[in-house]
Amino acid sequence: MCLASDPGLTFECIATHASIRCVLGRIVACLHSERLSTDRVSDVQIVLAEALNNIVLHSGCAPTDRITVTLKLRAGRLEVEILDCGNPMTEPLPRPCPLRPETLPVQELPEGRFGWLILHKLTQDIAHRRVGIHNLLSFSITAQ
Amino acid sequence: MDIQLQSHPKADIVHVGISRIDAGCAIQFKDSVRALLDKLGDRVILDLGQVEFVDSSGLGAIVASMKILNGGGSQLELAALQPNVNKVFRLTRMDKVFVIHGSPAEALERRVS
Repeated sequence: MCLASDPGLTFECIATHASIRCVLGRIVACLHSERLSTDRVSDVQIVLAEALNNIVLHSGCAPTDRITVTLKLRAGRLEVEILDCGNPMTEPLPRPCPLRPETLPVQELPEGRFGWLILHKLTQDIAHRRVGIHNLLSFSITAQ
Repeated sequence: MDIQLQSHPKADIVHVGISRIDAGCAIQFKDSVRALLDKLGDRVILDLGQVEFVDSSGLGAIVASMKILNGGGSQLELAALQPNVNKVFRLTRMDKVFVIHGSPAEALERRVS
């Protein structure tokens, strides 16, 4: 099975930061073996870390709850689906706040709100829907 | 957490000896920097040469560290950002906020007012 096959590749972890680190390591190794460029692998690692840690921090998932990541390579794009069993996400998806931190005094610099900004800058087609008791977050990233 | 302080006449260098600053260790990182506060002078270089990955929580912890040090009278500068780390700073425009040097040695040679 490979990324370009119809079902793609599926990875599972549980809703803890340690498990997410572990699955990110497996995914990065897989993407390198599929000959994605170092820069694209970097993008995928960054956006998956944001999306998965967001689930751990904000979804209400228990630490034993399973998260499934499916990656599929199609027409030069890596399609990503993330399934979790946390609380329904806020509708619509949060929009990133445009940041101009260089205009702010040091003590007023933001310490958060970076995650969605990063996700929106590195991905396209971000969508969320509720599937039964699960959240399904999907997006794509250029693979070239 | 592996964080080592090296004092130098021109600046204090804080070497970060971990490969990731992410959601799993962001608070611990911030606390480790805060614990150094009394030992730091007015210019601090955070050496990120061994850090291969920073996520948004890690970035938040670095920004928080800057604010903590700034409140104590120290200026925080960064050195040796790896490509993945540099990308996160660029995407969030935090590369416009921090003084960033190629290496700790380069930082010591260049005084930024």
